[in-house]
Amino acid sequence: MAIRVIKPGAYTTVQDTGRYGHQRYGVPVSGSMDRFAGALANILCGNPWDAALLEISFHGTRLFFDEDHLVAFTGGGARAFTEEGMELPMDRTIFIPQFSVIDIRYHPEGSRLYMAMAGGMDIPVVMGSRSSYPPVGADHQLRDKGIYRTLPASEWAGKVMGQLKGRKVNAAKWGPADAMMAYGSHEVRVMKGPEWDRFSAASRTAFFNGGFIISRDSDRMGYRLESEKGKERPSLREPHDMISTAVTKGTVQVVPGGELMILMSDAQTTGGYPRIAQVIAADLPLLAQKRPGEQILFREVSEAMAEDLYLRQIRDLLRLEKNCKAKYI
Amino acid sequence: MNAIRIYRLSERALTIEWPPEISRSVSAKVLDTDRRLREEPFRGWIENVPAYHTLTVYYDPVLLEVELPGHLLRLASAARAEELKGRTLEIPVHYDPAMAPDLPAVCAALGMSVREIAACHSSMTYHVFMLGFMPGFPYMGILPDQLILPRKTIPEKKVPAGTVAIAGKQTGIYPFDSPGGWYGIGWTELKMFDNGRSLLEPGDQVKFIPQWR
Repeated sequence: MAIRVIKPGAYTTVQDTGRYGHQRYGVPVSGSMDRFAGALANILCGNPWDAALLEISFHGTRLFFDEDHLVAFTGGGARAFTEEGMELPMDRTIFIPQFSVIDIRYHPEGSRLYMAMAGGMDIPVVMGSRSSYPPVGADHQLRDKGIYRTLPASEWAGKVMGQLKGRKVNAAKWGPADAMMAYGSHEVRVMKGPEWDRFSAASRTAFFNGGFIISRDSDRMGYRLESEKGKERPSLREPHDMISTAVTKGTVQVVPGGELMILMSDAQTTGGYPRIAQVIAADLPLLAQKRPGEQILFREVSEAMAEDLYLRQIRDLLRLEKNCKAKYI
Repeated sequence: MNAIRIYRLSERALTIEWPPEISRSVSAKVLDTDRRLREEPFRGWIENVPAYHTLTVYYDPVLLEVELPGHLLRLASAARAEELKGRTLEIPVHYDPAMAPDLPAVCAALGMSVREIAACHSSMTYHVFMLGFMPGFPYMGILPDQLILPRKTIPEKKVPAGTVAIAGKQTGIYPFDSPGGWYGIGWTELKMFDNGRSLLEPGDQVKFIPQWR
């Protein structure tokens, strides 16, 4: 089964859960910016969570389906439409009949749309992952006129396809509750970073007082934050020579000049700037869906709470997967 | 006194930290702990990232069974300060202003000729402390005192792939064209990252071989 790219859109890439085992060689992890939406889309297609899917960072993508397909759209920033102009639901398993055209159009909420296909995308595995990262030879940005195939779908997906199949696009009635992820929240929870104590008392207070705006200069490598006018910029109590060490997705670094930089999926594996905070894993999906110009407010949680929230999120996805599987057995 | 600290980097990573210094003895402990963890991984272990004075251990908290901070502290405390026998690699370097446009400025700043810089830089066997910044970028040291310069105040927008550069006590090689703040003093035709493989790995020993046309 295959899709043909009529229009790739401004920035659409293939992603999975990431490239592990090579960070010691300086290879970034990459993978879906919104890990939660990526897993959800795959679950709704009966795929393993790490199956390859499309991350559509801006609208404008137009796809032609060569065959019948089972797909799911999750995340935000855009919505899928049929050629006739019918909007497809988010977070649902959707049957797309052969010879359909699907358009991805702008949507004001969120920043990245995920499209999973039953079976997952058949993309060459480079260093253990299908995620796009050109320096390692994995240039999987969606190409104009490209043809993308899928791997064999699961038995479950085959059964669901049989149920939903018809002449028209058809979405399953069942799916997750709306409230699985609080994408609308401006609150981003963090743990104190390894260099937290090195920052001045005023900086530490200011950090939790809001006034940070996501800069235009933000991408898959990281989000730069601008401070509102007159806001105290984070500064160290005394000069500190940082020796380079590991950093990871969610690390909030303070770069020279006092700007904040939150590292995201394609971030470098090591860094030499003081780390004021670490965005909790459970809130990284929410951050991944923020767009330039949006305000964020940091709130502190304990390490134990952060871990608990992360594990709870995984359990929610596992429960959803089980419920989906139970629909057609 | 136990000079080892374990701190949380994320829900999926703990960092073991030794005293903050760039030294071969600390690096030996980092790499010895790295080796032990890779030889006998605990359930849920994903990967290690060695750095100058830290070893970061990535894991899956869903699979974890061991009490990790305690486990890591025990391993790290038992680490040996003797260097492992790493590979020794030779890297040809052209110390040529046509290939390393920073060379005249470095000569002026250090009060040395190109030949003197080349002789000094290639007089040592360097230790690869870590890789980072981009795929295959080695952080090597320790640079002779005569060659110590701070980073550029304004980073270059594009440093060419293959540039051999220095900053502080460190020397490195840019695997890809990239922005960079280190002073380029030479160029090598060797590919630092090619076909999904890094030429160097942590613990390797590197000798630079000057090339003169």
